[in-house]
Formats: sequence, C-alpha cells, structure tokens
Amino acid sequence: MSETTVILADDHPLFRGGLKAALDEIAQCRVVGEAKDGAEAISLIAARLPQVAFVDLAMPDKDGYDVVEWACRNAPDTACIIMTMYKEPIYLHRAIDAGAQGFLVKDDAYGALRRCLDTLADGDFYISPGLGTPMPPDPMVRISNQEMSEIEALTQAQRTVLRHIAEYKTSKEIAALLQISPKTVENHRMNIARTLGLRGPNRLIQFAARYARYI
Amino acid sequence: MPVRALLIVCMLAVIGVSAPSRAYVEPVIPTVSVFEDADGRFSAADVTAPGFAGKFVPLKDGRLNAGLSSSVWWLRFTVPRPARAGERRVLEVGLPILDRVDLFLVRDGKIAGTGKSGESVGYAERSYSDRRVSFLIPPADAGATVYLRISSQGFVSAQPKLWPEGAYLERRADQAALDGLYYGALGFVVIFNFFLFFGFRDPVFLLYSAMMFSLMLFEAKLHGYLDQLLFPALPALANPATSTLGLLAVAMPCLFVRAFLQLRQRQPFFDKLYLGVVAATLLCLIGQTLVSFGTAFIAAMVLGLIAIILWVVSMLRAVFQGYTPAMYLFLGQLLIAPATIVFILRSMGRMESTLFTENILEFALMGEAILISLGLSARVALLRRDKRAAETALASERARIASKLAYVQEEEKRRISADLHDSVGQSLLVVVNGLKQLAARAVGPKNTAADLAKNAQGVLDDVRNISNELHPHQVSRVGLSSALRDLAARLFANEDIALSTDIDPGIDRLLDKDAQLQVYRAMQAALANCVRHAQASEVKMSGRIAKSSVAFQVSDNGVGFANGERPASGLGQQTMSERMSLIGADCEIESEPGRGTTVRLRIPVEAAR
Repeated sequence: MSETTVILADDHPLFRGGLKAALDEIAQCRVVGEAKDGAEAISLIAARLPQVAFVDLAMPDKDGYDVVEWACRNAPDTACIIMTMYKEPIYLHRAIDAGAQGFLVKDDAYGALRRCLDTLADGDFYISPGLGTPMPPDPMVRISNQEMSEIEALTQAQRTVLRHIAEYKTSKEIAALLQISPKTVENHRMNIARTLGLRGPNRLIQFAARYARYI
Repeated sequence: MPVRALLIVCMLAVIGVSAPSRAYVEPVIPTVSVFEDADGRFSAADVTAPGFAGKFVPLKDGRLNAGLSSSVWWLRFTVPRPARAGERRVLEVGLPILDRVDLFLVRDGKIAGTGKSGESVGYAERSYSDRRVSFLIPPADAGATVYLRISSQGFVSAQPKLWPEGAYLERRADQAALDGLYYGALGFVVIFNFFLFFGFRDPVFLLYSAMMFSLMLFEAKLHGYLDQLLFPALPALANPATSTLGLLAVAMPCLFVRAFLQLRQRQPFFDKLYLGVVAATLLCLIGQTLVSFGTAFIAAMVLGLIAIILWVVSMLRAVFQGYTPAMYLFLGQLLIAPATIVFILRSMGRMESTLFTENILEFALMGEAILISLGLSARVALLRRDKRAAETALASERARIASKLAYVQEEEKRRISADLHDSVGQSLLVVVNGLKQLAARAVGPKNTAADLAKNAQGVLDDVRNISNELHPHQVSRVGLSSALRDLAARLFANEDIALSTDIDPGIDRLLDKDAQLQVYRAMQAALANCVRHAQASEVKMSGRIAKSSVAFQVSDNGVGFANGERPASGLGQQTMSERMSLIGADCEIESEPGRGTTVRLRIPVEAAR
C-alpha cells in the first residue's frame, strides 16, 4: 500500500504537535506539512497537493470551511477533513456543504485517525462516532418534479441504500446493515449518482440528506 | 406664528369697529378767559373784583395748556343758558391729576357760591363726588360768572365743559364699564404671566407681569381710579403716588425689554443703556422726597422718553437680527401707531368723539399686551425647542452609549468565550486525547487512564458549554439561518412540541454580523420561552425577506398572557426589545391568555431583494 501524504492545519501548536505525533505512528502515513492558519493551509495544499488535509475549523485569517471550499475547487484530489471542538450537527452539515471528506471531533482525534484515514481510503465520508444526526427536515426545501421523478426511477434497493446515505452511513456500515458486500454498495452509489446526475464530492450525501423525506 | 398674530390684530380691528360707537351729547364749551398769577398772591376777592376783569385774556377754544407750571391759573367764564330749562349740569374742568381747583360763583358782583376739587382734596370734601375735576352747576346758576382757581404741580391743562348731568353720568358709566374691561384685561395679563412664571421658571414672565402691573397702576393713577379706590381720604398721597408710579412705569418696561430681547447676549451695549435708565429711575425714586414733585415728574418724563427711544431702536435691531419674539413686540408697536393717529385726529376734532375713538389708546395697549403675550409664548416655544433638541441629543447619546456598552459587553463575552475555547479548551483537548490513547493501550481491569480521560472529557464538555453560552460561535461560523435551524432543533429535541422552521438562507447575506448575533440571541430567548413557559404543542419559527426588511417570527399555541401583564419571562422580553433597538430593529410581542404568543422581529435592511 502506498504512502498517504498528509498536511495539518491548526492554530494551536500543542494540539497540532500531538496530532502529528499520532499520525507519525501510523506507518503508511507521511505528514508533509503543517500550517497555523487558513491562508497558510491553502498555500500548503497548493504547493504539496497532499492526499489528505486535516483542517481545523476555527482558525484565524481563513477558517476551515474556507480552506475546504478552496481545495474543492483548486485541488480536487485532496480530501479535506474538518477538525473541530464543536459537536453541534450544524457544523457537520456545513462541512458536507463545503465539500469536506470527513468531520473529526477533536475530543477523540488522535485515537480516531487511523479509522478516519481508512474510511477515506474507502472513498467514504468520515464522521466522528455519535455525530451522524440527520439534518432536521427543512420545510423550505421543495423538491422539483424532475428530481422527484429521478428518485422514483431508482430501484428499491438503490432507494434503501440512499436512505442510509442520508443518515451519513459509510459504505461499509451500509454493507454490514444490508448484509451485502461493500463493493455492491459502492456500485449502488455509482449507479444512483449517475441516475440522479450528481457529480462531485458529497453531492450524493447532500442530496440524500436534503431530500431524505422524499426517498 | 406671525399668522396667529395677524389674526389677533384682525380680531381686534373687528372688535374696534363693532365697539359701542354711539355719539354722546356734545358738551357746551363756554368762552373762557384766563389770568396767570405767577406768585399766587391774589385772593378770590381780588380776582373776582369787577376791576380785575381787564387782566383776563381770552382763551382759544377754552383750552388752557400751561405745560409744566407752578403758577396759579385763573379761568373765568359766564355760565351759558342750559339747552333745556331746569337742567342740572356738570362742569368738567380737566384730568384728575390737577392738584387743586377752586370754584367761585359770582353773581351780581358777589361770591355766591364756592366749590373745591382736585387731587389734593379728599373725596368726601369734594363738591361733586367724581374722580375727574368737576362741579355741579344748578339751573339757577345760568348767567352767573364762574372763576376757577387752578394750582398744580406738574402739568396744567384744563378745558371747562358743561354737560347735562344725565349725559355726563351716562358717559361716565360707559367709561367705567370700558375701563373695567380694560383693567380687567390688563389684570388678567398680569396674573396669567405671574403664574406662567411659576410654571416656566423664566424670570421674563415675572418681569412682564411686573411691567404690566406698573403700567396699569400708573394709568389708573392718571385716570383717578387709584385715588378713588385706594386712598380717597388721603389726598396727600396723590402726588408722590403719581411720580413713584411714573418712575416705576419707566423702570419696569426697561427691565422687561432687556430680558425679553435677551439684550445681555444679543445687544450688550443697549443692555448697559437700559441698566443706566433703570439706575436713574431708582435714583429719582429715592431723590423725589428731597426735590419737588414737579422735578421728579419731569425726571420721569425725560427718562420715559429715553426709554421709548431705546425700546424702538433695540427692538428694531432684534427684529433685523431675526429674533422671532421681537416680531411680536414690533407688531404691538405698529398697533399703537394707528391708535395714536386716531387719538390725535379725535383730539383735533377731526374725528367723531365716541367711546371707541376716545379710548383707542387703551384698545391698542390691550392688543399690544396680547401680542406681547404671544411673543412670550413664541419665546417659550423657542426655549422648549432648544430643550427638546437637547433632550433628543441626550437620548440619542444614551442610546449610543447603551449600544456601545452592549457591543463592548458582547465583544468581551466573545473574547472570553474564544479564550476559553482556544486556550483552555485546546490544552484540555491535548490532555483528553493523550489520556484516551493511554487508556486504549492500557491492559488489566483497573484502567486509571480511562477514568482520567472520562473526567477530563467532562471538564472539556463544561468548558465547551460555557464558551458556547457566552457566545454562539455557530452564528459567525455557519451563518444565522443555519444556526437558527440548529438552535431550534436542539432546543426542541427532547420536547413534545411540533416545530416547524421556515428560514430563508438569503438572510445571511442581508444582515451584518452584529445584527445576526442579536437576532440569534433574541430568537433564542423567544424559543426558550416557548419551551419553558408557553406549554405549547406547536411552535412555528420563520425568517423571511420582505421588501425593505428581514422579518422573523416565533409563534406558539400555548397559554399566552394578558398584554400589559408581565409574565414570568418578562425580563427576557424586555432584553429582546433592547437587543432589537440596538440594531435599529423593532420587536413586537403579541399575546392573549389562552391564545398563544407571537414574537415578531423586523430588521430594516437596504435593498432586501
């Protein structure tokens, strides 16, 4: 297995130090840079093009969301993880909207790194345990007829998978729940995305979470 | 304001035109001749002697106008026949201020009757009880020769007129009624302004009241009312009263005008001149006991003349300086001018002598008093406007300080919250993470690291909660619309309340950070009230963009409360309103017992759509 290149961005040196130490313990992972604010993180991503960027949410200059949004547009191969002390689901939803690939609560960051990297390697969205609260239904959201007919075009199995995606479950978790192979779940995801015409990071999760009550 | 003044002037004109203008029976003016006894050495017997008649010289129009004179003046005329046989007539000699007038009736070369009148004669001793200098002429006296001996300090002017007694009394009664109206009006102005002084604490009102009072007394003195009503039996007071009141009638207007026109600030030079006149009148008041009455009276006249000139000049200057109250003073003076013309025309016999034309100056004075009262009210309006402006400035300053204070407080909280979160929180994070890693590696049943990790996690959660309570970071991190949805979802997570939210994400770019924070706080309070007090089963929250504002609403179907009655959550509601006023927004709380509560926030924004 090849090495994963990682950068860290956090304005708090002590936490960043601990995180680096924890990452260094993971064999297949190599930290290629550290940033202490959002602007530095952006130039670091631009320069090193790492595979993974751990980005603190609350940073001076540009915050984590800004960095993630920038990376989505300019460095699509870099998977960004938002790290934060906030546990409110709203921050998770915002991270998904921004295009992050993971949401890591700092309370248990060091211990969760390996799992997080694994989830990313699987092409899934990582969420710290216990935070996968679905977005509260928003009555402002109105589904268009086209989108509704696209959902209706999905097979029953695809809709079941989509429902789980709306609850922020990873492919592995869905596979375990439905007692099918993760590969099958991956296939479902690809097919669903194609049917719904969704491209780009998190579009499927966003769609599922947004229209959860119509699926 | 000038419109109001014009209206008043027109009103007065109407009153003037419709005032009693019946013409009276014209008095008979006999052919009078006069003799001046400069030293007062001739007795009645000397003067009435037949050989003395040659010393008398004819008097034009029967009018004696000796000006300031200390001579004794003798008038002589033959009593004409009455218009109607057997008619009693009244001989009116002149103004009540003549000191002493003696009448000698000579028939067949002998003094057949005498009479006395004048200021220096007590009312009880006067031949004919009248405030004017007058005598009763019985019908039998027709054809007899009347000698009048006039001696007076000050001005000497007289014009003997013979009235039928009925006509005289009728005219006197009309005059008394008119004077009653006149003095009543002046008295009202005096008392009214006296009380205004207590109301406004502006000394100008007191000075005006004092001025009108002194003028009123002086005029009453000149017309004889004062003697008649106050000291009919003390004629010795008559002359000192005239000079004292005359001097006061000069000093008081000076004091009033300089205060009214704010001369000390606006025309300092004229202010000094006025003070000089006042000081001079004070000197005269003290000195009049040493010099003669006549001298004091002359001094009062001179000072009065100076005061009038000063008054006109300073008033015109004030008008040109654009001081509104001076305008009324000016209009008042304008009113006096036509009245004076009427007065002169009437005195010259070019105008019919009616009660109105005879009292035209009094009417004008009344009008002037009213106009000055208007001027005073204009002054009050100006003072009020200044006061209001000051109050508004103070209020806006207070609001600014309150807003600033609230901002500083909010900023302070944000800083403490950030510090807690960033330094304490982050350090704790490192500890918690380290302990958790230790705990994961530990072996054996007793896992101290795990216990410590749990404790540290508890502390970390506390820090996080305190930090979040101090400052809702999510508003700035994720925007108001998302933060509000999240807030509501969290608040109602464990409640059996149906919540519906309808928040336009567009509000985030319309409201600045400060407004977002205040709205978040207010909505937090409103939603918390729904959970804690309303006992509602349904809560609706909305945030919509209107034409030029962003409107938020939280409504429940709970117990509500009576408007005006402060519910348990009253303090929260007041804070809500205050928060909204800080960002220039409205907060409206509507409730009825049993009909739920609705809170509306409206934040004005530029170009909402």
